[in-house]
Amino acid sequence: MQQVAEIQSLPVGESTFADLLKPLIEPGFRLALAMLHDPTAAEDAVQEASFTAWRKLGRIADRSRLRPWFLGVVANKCRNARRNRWTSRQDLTDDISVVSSEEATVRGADLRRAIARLGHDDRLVVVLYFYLDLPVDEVATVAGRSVGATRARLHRAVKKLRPGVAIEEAFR
Amino acid sequence: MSNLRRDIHSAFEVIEPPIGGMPERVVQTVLADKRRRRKERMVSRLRISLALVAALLLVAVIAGAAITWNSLHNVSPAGGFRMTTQQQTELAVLEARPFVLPTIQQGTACPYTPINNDGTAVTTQAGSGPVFKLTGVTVGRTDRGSWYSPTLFYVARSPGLVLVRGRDLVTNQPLVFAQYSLGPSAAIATGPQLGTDQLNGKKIQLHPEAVLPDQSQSPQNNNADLILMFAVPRPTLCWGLQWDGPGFSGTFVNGWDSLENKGP
Repeated sequence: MQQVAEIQSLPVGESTFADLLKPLIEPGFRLALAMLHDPTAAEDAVQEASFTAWRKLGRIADRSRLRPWFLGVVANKCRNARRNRWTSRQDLTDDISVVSSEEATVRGADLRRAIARLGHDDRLVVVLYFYLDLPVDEVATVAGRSVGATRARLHRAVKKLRPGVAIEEAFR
Repeated sequence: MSNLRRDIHSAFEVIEPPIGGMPERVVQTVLADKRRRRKERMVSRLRISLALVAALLLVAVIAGAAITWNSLHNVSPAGGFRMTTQQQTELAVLEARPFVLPTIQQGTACPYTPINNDGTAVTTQAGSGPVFKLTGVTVGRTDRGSWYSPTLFYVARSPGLVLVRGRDLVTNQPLVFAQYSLGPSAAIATGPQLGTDQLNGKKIQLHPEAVLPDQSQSPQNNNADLILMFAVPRPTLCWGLQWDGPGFSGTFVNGWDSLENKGP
């Protein structure tokens, strides 16, 4: 995966680190949850990504690129977690029980299962674009692809999710 | 918002637990881990430093033991004599003393040192002291000549080293010495190294002189015998040793009657 430019190593103090990292925890957790469908595993992935961030944060000279970089790290941790979990298939196909109206629950569970069946890269761009509402260029940065390639991947992933849906409608 | 975007939001928002204090918890865990790692690094560095200090101490102890051993034996592994600066100065003064050994013409009788009998501690003494030549044997032959090993006896009257040098009295060529190779000897071949030779399959180092240690510091009866070893060139029929010590100089002259009959 293409990494965000690592230009120089800057010393990062504890308070600076906390100030920089805290706003990234929530999007990181939402990404991990949507990728793993398991709140505990999602928090573990974010925690591991935070350890990595502590070690490498000083190398990110451009602070505006911190969020896509951190989400990219979280995405990698999710990929590793999914590889390592012997229960991964069960976790991703069974769903967390939800207290809601029956119709909405069934529709939501179907969609989550459909997303879970996508490959890692497809699932990542779908979650980043449709759930975290990132712009395509930032999705491309997180995924380590070009904007064009990311857009094409999004189209293919949407087609897999809802073959009947009009692409234009999905991207409105 | 498109239907798909809205549906995905709905699908995940219903399973998303409240974040609560997670950001604070995650950051604190990282910082606590960092402090723990820093502490571990410090302990690790301390261990490495202590190990280095221990290793240096061990090296120092071994070096100290080696130096002590050498100073006690006063002999380098090569058989040379490791002297103090004061002893080197003392030896230089002795080396400056002139040779008193005579030079004789070819065919002239060799002025052998008379043999004395006193029947006490030693059966035969040659010379007038305080350094006496006792027995002597030829220990081997090489291209340099016959390697002769006389045992000396030294009655020290005052402290100081004794320098031993030798010459062929006919050709006036200096004799070369080597450390006695058949056993311990308190007499040490010394001076600049003049090369090596193979005697009885053993490599020996050649020196221009020998030195007898200060007997007032370490009496001879507490140490090894004073055994010299030097090469007498083959054609030499008459050779002499000269010893220069504190307040005295003496000589010992020996040789062979003929090339066929070498002795005594």
